[in-house]
Amino acid sequence: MIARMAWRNLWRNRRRTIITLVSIAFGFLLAITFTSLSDGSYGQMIDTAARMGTGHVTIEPQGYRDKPGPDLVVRDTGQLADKVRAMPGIENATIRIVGQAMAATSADSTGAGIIALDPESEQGVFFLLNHVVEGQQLASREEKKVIIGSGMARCLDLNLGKKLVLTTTDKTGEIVSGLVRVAGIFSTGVDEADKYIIIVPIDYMRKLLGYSKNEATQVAVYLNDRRDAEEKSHTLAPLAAAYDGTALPWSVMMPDVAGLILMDSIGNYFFQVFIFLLVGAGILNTVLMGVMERLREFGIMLAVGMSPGKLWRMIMTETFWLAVVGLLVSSVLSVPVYWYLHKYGIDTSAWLGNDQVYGGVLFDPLMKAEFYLDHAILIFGGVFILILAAGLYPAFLAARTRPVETIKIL
Amino acid sequence: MKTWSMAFRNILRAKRRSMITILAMAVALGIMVVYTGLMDGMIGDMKKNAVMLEMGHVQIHAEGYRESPSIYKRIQAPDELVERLAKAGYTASYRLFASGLAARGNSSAGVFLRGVAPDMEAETMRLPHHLLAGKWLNKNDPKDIVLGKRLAKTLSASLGDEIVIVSQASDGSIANDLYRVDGILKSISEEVDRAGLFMTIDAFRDLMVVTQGAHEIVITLPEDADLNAAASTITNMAQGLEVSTWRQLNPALAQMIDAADAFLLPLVIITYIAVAIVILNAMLMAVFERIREYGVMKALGVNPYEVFFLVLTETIIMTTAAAVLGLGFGVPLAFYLETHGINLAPFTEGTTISGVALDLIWHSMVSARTILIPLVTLYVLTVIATIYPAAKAAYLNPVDAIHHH
Amino acid sequence: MKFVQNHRFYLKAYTLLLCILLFPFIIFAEQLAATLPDADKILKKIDDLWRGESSRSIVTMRVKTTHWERTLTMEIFSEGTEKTYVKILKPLKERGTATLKVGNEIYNYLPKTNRTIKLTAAMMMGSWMGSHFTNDDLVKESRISEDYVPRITFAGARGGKEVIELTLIPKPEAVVVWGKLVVVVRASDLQPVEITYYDEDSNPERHMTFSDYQVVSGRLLPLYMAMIPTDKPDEFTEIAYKELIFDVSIPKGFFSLTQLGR
Repeated sequence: MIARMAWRNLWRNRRRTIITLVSIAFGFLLAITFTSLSDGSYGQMIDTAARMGTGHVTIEPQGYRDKPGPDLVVRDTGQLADKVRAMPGIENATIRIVGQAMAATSADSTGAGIIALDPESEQGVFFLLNHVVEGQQLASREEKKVIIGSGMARCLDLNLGKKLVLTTTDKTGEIVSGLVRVAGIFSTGVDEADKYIIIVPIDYMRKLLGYSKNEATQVAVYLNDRRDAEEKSHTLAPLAAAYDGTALPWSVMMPDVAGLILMDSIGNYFFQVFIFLLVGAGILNTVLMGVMERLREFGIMLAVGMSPGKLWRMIMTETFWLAVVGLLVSSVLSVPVYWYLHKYGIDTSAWLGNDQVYGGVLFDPLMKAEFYLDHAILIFGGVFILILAAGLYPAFLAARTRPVETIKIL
Repeated sequence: MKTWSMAFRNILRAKRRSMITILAMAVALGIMVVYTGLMDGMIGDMKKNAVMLEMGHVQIHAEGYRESPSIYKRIQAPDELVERLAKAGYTASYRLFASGLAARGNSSAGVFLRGVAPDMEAETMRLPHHLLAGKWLNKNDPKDIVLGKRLAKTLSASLGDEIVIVSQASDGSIANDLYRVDGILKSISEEVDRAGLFMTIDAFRDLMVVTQGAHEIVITLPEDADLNAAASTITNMAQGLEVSTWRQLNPALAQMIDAADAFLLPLVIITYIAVAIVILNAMLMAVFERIREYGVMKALGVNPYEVFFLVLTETIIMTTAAAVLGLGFGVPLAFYLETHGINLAPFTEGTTISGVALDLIWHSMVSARTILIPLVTLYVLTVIATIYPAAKAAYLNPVDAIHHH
Repeated sequence: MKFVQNHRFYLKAYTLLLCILLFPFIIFAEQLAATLPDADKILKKIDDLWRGESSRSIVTMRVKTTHWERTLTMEIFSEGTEKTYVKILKPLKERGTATLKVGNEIYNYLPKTNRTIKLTAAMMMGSWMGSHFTNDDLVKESRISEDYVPRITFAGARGGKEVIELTLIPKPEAVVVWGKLVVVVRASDLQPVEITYYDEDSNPERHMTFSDYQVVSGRLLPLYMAMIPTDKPDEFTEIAYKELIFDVSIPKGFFSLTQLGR
């Protein structure tokens, strides 16, 4: 019976209730929009960074973080990659050799970062291969062709088909050189990539470095759900160890990106806390007002024999209904908003520019929303609790009213 | 005057109701103040970090140096220029640069040698105070050097270790000498971390046979100085030399900070919209609760304009009370956060964005606008929020009003 | 038919005339083919010029750049193609600085700090001792005949001298940055006169000249060479041999790191 009465009470002052519902919807929508946009854009950042770099989880030789060098390898990577791919939650695993070398032409020489890979399995996976603007992709794992960045092409005066001498240290520490020709040129607009990175076929690199057929510097693992990275790195650790490797999540491999996401998340978090506080203040205001003006009514009810406890519960039930209706309305309203943001996103290039580079990675100015169930539940729960909490003080006041006093109020 | 006293009495009569409204607005204002302070602080810190660590607000180079650096393109008589800058109120320091090779045991690394005057640099920049281990350079110990964080790791070098540096001196001879690691820096910037090796000016001059001149003069400006104005003053003082602001030197960072700043604007607007809703809520109710009263007033002959202004006046009084309360708790909190800040988790250590290291503590920055903007917004919003109900109150039919409820 | 019959005499006369006129050329061409040395042979000879079982020399190297000019006096020991030891004698400030090359590895010894540094891949393209020769040049100095395919592209007089010009195209497997090399030798004794290094677009990048031909230990070779970068024609590095002896006896273990310290 209280439930029905509470429900009716809620609608007695339609205008006020509607205003309150609007506040709730506003707060909820805001929280959902921000959270899903952030989730979407962080997710995209991580994926981009993973594809451009070293996967969501990277298996690399033990000790490599502290002292990287061509002498450290992961063995039997072919077998390892197969085993990794067979595990749940894994989308793909690719094998790479990375290192430093000097790239020289008759004109000049410059330091370069080498990424040696299997062209066939990395098509569509490795970010840079999607940015080849001149020439062609690499055709085989052992040809003596490379893909360089547009910045390096400029510095070394290189064109398609021209030759380049790579000098580096091999597995035993000896200095080795190889002659390669430019098959393609990529351009990302990011200097760190364009001026520095050279993509080399993996088997050619193995020959140059004196690696055996299955040795490599890293296995880049791509996950189905990027949020599992931390957990998966622990799961993969024992497997990696069997092949002389360790498994590291992207947050360790790319601390810049992790840092950026962290900073942004913190900002977001505080922002949403503020909004919630504001909305909470508004709801408190409303409910309080609603109680205040009915003090006389409550006085009579108490005088007639209703227990304070019951009164308290009635107010809380009103608040409960408010929460339910509020969340219902909010959810309904947020569906089209989310759909739009998910499909079309917000194009931030208008005010943030087209070349946002963080930690050496280029990000898409289009922010799209993504829905994570656990975040949604958090918001739901948060709003619900907030509303109920806002009802506590007014309910307490109502229950505490002294009948004689209140009946005296006009 | 009649309106004012009536307004006051009206407010005081419904104490609880007024209090509630005022409180809601005060909380809204307080939150706005703290929030604005934190946002300003974040941007301010970003700028300060970028600039004060290593780059400075303004840099001076010899003509053509930035485009194609060379040990031979130097600023003549840097001491004298630094002195003149100091007289004009600018803190400045000069530096010498060269590339070379550093080796320790079997490890070696390409390094970017930086000769600095220890005291001048410590006064101008924050870098000398940003040490992970050991201490900063000392004029009297020219064989002591300070390494960037990652460089120390690449060379497996710790305090007290001996490093040999090899390079080609400006007279073509082979420059080489032994030095002792006296300090290791925290994360500064990508370049300094990876290849930065600091030595005293005298040590540099000795090693590289560069007896006079400097490659770079860095200048830091006082807190509120206008960047471009300072840049033109300095350009006039540095005839024949190239003067650049930090924005020109690191456009990526400038863009990132501007983007962060721009990104905050919608956030601020949204926050204020939320505030507006709270206030609207409060004011609407405050007025509509008393529709009956207003009906009675009108029936008694009070004309519509007077009713309107009465409502408005009540609003302004309550807003002012809210302002006092809100500022009363918001401003001290903002100041507290300015000095103490919010301590962010330690895993931002070593993180760089656009090559510049991040700070661990989120400070707010309090300035006139931290208080003014929220305050003005509050007044504007409350007045707007009141217009509808006030107009309604002013123009309603007294009979309808009295029967309202 | 009738035409030919009528002019048979003239036809015969013409043919005879043609043969008489062509005859000297035919003889000359034969002779040319007989006397022109095989391109490979020329290349090998250049490669072998400074090669002996072993050698010892004193050399002055003068380097001039836009900003400075330096002259060094060095003592050089070499054995076969893989081992070279260079020690600076003058100026006093750098006396004792040494470079040891063994195969593909280069070590520099610096007396002031008493340290030996092994050159890394990154330093290979850097200049050797501040000159216009790179460390890489030092490692690859004796491999021209291995890395290039020669072709004679000119034989005749140039600037009053009889010369043979060879164009060297790198073998597909050769790890060299150059597009081609043009080597000019004296026709008389196949002594090198100049080498021009070109990029793949046939732009000259650097130019090396040879002169001061003398007989040493029974062989003729140029004792002076200069390297001039094309983009900075005012700069150069010149090397002049002051003393040179071939087939000296060098103690075993001489080309080692321990020797560097002495």
